[in-house]
Formats: sequence, structure tokens, C-alpha cells
Amino acid sequence: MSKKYVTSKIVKLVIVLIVCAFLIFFNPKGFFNPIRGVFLSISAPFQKIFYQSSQKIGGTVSFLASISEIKNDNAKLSKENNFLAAQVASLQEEKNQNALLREQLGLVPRDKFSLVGGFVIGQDPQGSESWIILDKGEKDGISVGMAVIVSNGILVGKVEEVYATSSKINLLASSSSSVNVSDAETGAKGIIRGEYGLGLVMDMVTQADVLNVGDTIITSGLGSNIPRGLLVGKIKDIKVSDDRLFQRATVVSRIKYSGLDVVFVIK
Amino acid sequence: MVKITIFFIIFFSAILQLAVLSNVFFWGLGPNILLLLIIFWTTQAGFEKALVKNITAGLVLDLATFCAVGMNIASFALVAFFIGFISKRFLVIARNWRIFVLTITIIFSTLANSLFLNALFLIADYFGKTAIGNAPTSLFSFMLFKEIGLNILFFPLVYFIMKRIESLSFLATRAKIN
Repeated sequence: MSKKYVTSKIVKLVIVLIVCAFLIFFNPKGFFNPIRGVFLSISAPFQKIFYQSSQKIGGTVSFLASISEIKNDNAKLSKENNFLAAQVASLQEEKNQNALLREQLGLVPRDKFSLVGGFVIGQDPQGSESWIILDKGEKDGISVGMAVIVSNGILVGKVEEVYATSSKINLLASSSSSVNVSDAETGAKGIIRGEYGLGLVMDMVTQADVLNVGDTIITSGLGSNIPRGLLVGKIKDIKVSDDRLFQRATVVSRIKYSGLDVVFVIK
Repeated sequence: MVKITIFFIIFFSAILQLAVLSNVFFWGLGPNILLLLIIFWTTQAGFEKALVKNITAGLVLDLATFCAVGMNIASFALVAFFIGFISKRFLVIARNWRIFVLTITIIFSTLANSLFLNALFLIADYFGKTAIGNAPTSLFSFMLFKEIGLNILFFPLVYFIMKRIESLSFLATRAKIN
């Protein structure tokens, strides 16, 4: 009677699940890394072509979807432009002072980064903006832990895995990402973490430190390969953690992670 | 020849998912083409006959999305098992309700795939296996409902393309025999 329930379907399913459990728990990535490297080498050229072509289509679709907002944005931007033009003149003096301060504080000047540029050829298909694939790998001098930036100074993530001709970049918005940062205005130190693709949170800031809405958050250069002084974002709001020991701030990045096409790795 | 064709279908579907569909849709999320292929193969041929194709699709997706090999294989195998169960009972009996049953199958499969992946990820994470890849879409996220909607929209396209490929393969095989 009991044999009726143990069909060949169930036996095959159980065998598949046991093998998968063995693969997941005893050898997560080590054994299949060379195979994954070969797969990525073969798929990279196709991914590059398809990704770049689809970026243009995606841009058109986004444009059509946002037509109604464009007129309002246009008026707002014209007003902002006039205000900014006036500010530019007064900021020239501050720029000179800034260069001098950076030298004194030992910040790495942006012009002195050794950068490797690469095209994004794939991204997380689940839309959680957790990771992207870059068309540069070991052969281009990329290694795990290197910082990845755009626009000459805005941090977007870190190199997490490297293969011969491609690498996986873990974005700041990923839930597994954590980077040491500080408030550029007040010096408050904390850790930036991703929140499942919903944004960035600056955590572990002590109650004694000062955070203000609108403050600029930069990398602190502590405890990792990431140089100091890379822009992360601006504080949007500030809360107290559930245990009331630390402050937490929501940080908004200027970068839309799903729209990345060219990034730079700091060697 | 048929096996090679199927492998290429799986390979290019994975590239489509990673490099095209998530870019085209402004949510950053596209339909899960490989899951739709699993549904098609399992409803057409049954769980056992489609098992090798499902495992291959899971393996390719694991390699392409930097997951620990085995995560998507296990999830697809479980989803296919339940689809085989549903299709055997409902798609045969309720011929006039095929579209409705297929829609329910797609909704169930997408939810089940997300549930199984989340469960596997949590279990692996609990045992300290951190090198298993990034967390899948949360069960409580609105993105999951968007994925269900996109899967339902895209399934007819996948169905007709695969039917066409199958009939071409059948004709090629018949020509070869003759």
C-alpha cells in the first residue's frame, strides 16, 4: 500500500533536491567557478550587444512614460539654472580652498585615481538593483574589493567576484553591501547599507555625532580598499535606531543604478 | 539537433533576462522567461520528461546570476513537480477553462519559485553559507506582483514561439527519417 505513494516522479524529485542541497551547502561556488568563468566568457559578447541595444529601447520607453512630467521639470530646471549660474561665480574661491584642504587632510585627489573603465553588460534580473556585470576582469587588472565609481567620484559599489573577462559588481543598494562612510560637513562616522534595492541607509552613527538633513555623505576610507572622499549621496531624513543606541539616516544617491552603462574601477 | 536547439533557447533566454528585459521595462524588472519555459515544457510533456530541460535551465540561471549552483535547479524542480500535478488534473479535465487554468498556473509558479528561493536562501544563510548569491525578491515586495503580471503577459508569446520551434523540429525529424 505504501509503495503507491513512492512513484518514480517523487524519487527523481528527491534525488534532484538531495544533489542540490549537497551542492548548495557543501560547495557553494568553489567547484563551479571555472565553469561559471567559461559561461561568462561565452555569454559576455552577446550580453554586451543586447544590453547596449536595450538601453536605447529602455530610454525611449522611459521617455514616453514620463512625458507628462517633462513640462513641469523643464520650468523647475530653468529657475534652478539661473540660481546656480549666480552661485558658480562665488564657488570658484571655495574650490581653491578645497584643493588646499584636501592636500592637508590627506584625501586622495580624484585626478590621481588609476581608473579602468568598463561597460555594464548585465544586471540583476529581479529588479532589486543589487548587482551588475562589467565587461572587465582579471586580465584587465581587476580584483575583489576594488571600488567602482561613475562621473569621476560617485561611488556605486565594490567588485565582489572576478573572472577572466568579466566581474560582478555589488552595488551600494544591495542588502549585502556595507561601506564605511562619514558626513562631509560634521565628520560623523557610520556604515552605509543597502535596503533590498529601496535605497541606502547610514547606520551605526552614535548619538553624540551630529547629522543634518541635506548633509553630504562620503566614503571614510576606513577598513577597506575604498579610498576616502568618494561621494555616496545626501541625507534625506534621520531616525533613531530601534534600540535607541544609534542614529540612522536615509541617504539618497544621485545615481539611478538600473541606468548604469559605463563605470570605472579604482585600481 | 533538438537537444542543441533547446540548450540555445535556454542560453539566450537567460541572456534576454539579464541583459535586455530588465532594461526595457522601466521598473528594472522583466518577465522570468526561463520560468515560463519550465511551465511550457512541464504542461506539454509532464514532470519526468521535462526534468532534464528544467535542470539545465536552473543550472544556466544559477551560473548567469552568480547564485550557488543548485538554488534555481532545486526551485525549478519543485515548481515543475507541482505544475505537473496541476496540469495532469486540471488541464485535461477542463479544456474550456484552459486559459484560466494556465493563468492560475503562472501565478502559482511565480509565487512558488519566489517562495522556494527565499526559503533556500534563508536556510543557507542560517547555516552561515554566505557565498550563495544575493537575496531573491522578497515575498512581501510589490515587485513580485509586477513579475506575476509580466509573466502572464509574456506567456502567450513564449507559448507560440515554442510551439512553432517544436513543429519545425518535428518536421525536420520526419524529413530526416524519410
